[in-house]
Amino acid sequence: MLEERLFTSPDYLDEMLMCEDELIDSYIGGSLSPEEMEAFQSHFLLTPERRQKLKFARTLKRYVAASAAAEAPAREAELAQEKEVTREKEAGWLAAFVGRLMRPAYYAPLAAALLLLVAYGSWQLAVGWRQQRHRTALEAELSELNREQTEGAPSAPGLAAFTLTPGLVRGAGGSAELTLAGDTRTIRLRLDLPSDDFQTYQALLQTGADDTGVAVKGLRASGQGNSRAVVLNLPAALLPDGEYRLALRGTPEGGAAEDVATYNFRVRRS
Amino acid sequence: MLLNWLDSSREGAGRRYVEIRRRLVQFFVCRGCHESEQMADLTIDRVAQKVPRIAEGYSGDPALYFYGVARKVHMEYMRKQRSTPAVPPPLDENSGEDDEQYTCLERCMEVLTLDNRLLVLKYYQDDRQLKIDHRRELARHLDIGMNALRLRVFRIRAALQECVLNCLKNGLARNVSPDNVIA
Repeated sequence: MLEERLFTSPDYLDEMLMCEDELIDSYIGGSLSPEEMEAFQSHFLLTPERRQKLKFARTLKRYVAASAAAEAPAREAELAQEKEVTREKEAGWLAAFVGRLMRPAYYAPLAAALLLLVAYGSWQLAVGWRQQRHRTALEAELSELNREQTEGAPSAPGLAAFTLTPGLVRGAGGSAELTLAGDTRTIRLRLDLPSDDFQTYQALLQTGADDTGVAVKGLRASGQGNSRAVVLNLPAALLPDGEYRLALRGTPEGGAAEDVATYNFRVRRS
Repeated sequence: MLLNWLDSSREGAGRRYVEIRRRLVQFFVCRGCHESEQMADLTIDRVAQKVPRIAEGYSGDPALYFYGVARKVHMEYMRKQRSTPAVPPPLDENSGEDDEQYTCLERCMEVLTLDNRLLVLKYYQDDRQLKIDHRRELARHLDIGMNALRLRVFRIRAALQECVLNCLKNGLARNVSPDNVIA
């Protein structure tokens, strides 16, 4: 019998009182069904002891709520700090640095830095675009100059012709140079080939300062027997006085381009 | 005579007396009696009167004898109730006592140790699932089981309630003593 256990079991009374406390808390918390509420009020709350417990439970609930509300801002700050530490740990130093930059104190310097970045980027884009346009125009001009290649002696006015062998400049003595007359408008280079193994060739002229160079594509070899060469016409204006390096690459039919030979020379105006 | 019957040592007998009285009060509360404290005392008086006659021949737990007497006392109560039923006072949801009780609770909370105060606050904060999660976390933090946590908080709460009752009896928290609470 349950009542008898109240007198014989050492823990039974505490267990019963705990259950009563929990029942009262459920009543206050509104988690009892309407039927349970009715039974609670008409049977459970008959005694003054239980009414006093109910009153105490209400006061305790009020006290806990007030304490939680008073501590809420501090707890929120603590939670925010905990979250930030966790985020920093998870995302690493870079993300933490970016996270710090997102604070209001950094808004103005960050906006200024962004503006500078945007201005610099725009300027770089404009410069790049101008260079690209210039290169496209130049390559179109070179393509036009080399559309009909002739190996014959220069006869047109303003045309200066030279023959280059791989790695060497054919010239007087050891001085490797192409001397141009003042009225030279076009330079014709005859690039001797070690062997003619490719269907088309591509010449890449590196003009010193600009390492990207200028490319002339679709060149073909000409000549007879072992004397095969690629003829390359260049506008004299493209080659101010100075050192140059010209790389020749060959492309087999349906294959990838390969290095063929390199020609070094110096330009000087007389 | 009664105390000797409960335990041979004076201290043990005192503890046993308090324990049995608590159980008697709860017995009468569970049976819906309005004056459970007085009825528990009446039961003890009746047993005390009978002890000289029964003590020598009685075997077993004396608590069960109290239980038997308590049942008879309750039957008498029921008979009396049938002729003049006691009507419980209506539920007073918002009486002026609430504020006094709140002040007493504030003072009793201050007497608790910091750990116990925080334990009570954390145990009772939030509602429903959040509360359950919170309690589970609390038990893990204290490295105890959920039932041990429940029992620990129950004891603090019972002590707090006793402290608040004493405070109310003595008039607005003039005498909140650490003796009334688990420090």
